[in-house]
Amino acid sequence: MAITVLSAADVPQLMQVQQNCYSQELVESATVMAERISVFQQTCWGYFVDQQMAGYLLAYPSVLGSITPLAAAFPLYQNTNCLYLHDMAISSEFRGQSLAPKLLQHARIEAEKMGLNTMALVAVQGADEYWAKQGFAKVTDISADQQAILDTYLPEIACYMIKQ
Amino acid sequence: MKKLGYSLFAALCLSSATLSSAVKAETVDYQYLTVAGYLNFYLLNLNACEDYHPEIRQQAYEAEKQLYPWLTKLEQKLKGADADNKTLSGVVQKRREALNLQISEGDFTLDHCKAIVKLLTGDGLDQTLLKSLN
Repeated sequence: MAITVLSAADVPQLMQVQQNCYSQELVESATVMAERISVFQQTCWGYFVDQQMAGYLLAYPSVLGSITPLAAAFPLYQNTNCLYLHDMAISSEFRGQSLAPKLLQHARIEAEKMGLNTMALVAVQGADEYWAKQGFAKVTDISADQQAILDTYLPEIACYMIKQ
Repeated sequence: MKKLGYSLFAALCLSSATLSSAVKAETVDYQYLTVAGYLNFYLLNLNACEDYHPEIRQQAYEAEKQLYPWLTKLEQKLKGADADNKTLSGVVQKRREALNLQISEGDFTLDHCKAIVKLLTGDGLDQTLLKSLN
């Protein structure tokens, strides 16, 4: 088992995991995925078991309190201080093996090496409970501007969460 | 974000009609910036593939042709949009920097170029993403 940074050559396997985990309307295209993992390679990881991708985590350096609008590109920030988790998926055949917490732990260690001491995400569809179990806490005192961006996730109930 | 089979990041299932008016204009610009980053990523990569890996040069040229109609449309859209030029430059610059880093570290391999060309010719450009240009 190994967690490694992803490359464009991993995209076909990544697409299989994504298609295994999400309904068709939520699947993002192979060319979009390839761009993301190539540009933000240092913060996009795959979990491989015997060279088969069991799961992945796509993230990027961000600024605490900055929420990415729905469907926007991974943004570029100066003076980054947190790792923004965009997408994590574990293939069904590998679930129940605590791979997600292992990926999260790996991300946290790598983030700290980059000086990013906090992780952040937007949780929707009631996933806040899952993330709370992973140590994330809802942020309620966000600015009006950021709340407006969070509202782009409507009609989903979305909340911004961080883990120090 | 998405998580373990749930639509935690519901980007693709919501239409622009669901966006609040307060952020709609900004979101339109974000769409163009997203497309600009996407198209320029492939343009930069294909150009570098043509330079560094002559074995795949012809296939890269062919794949590159897909980009030009969309780059033209993007240019026209950006003329009439409020997209911040500095932000736009930053989006392209980030992709250039990532590519330069990949080249300098010896990771811009023939396999990478083959993967990029194969994705473009096999899967094709993301039509959902490009919809904002029509």
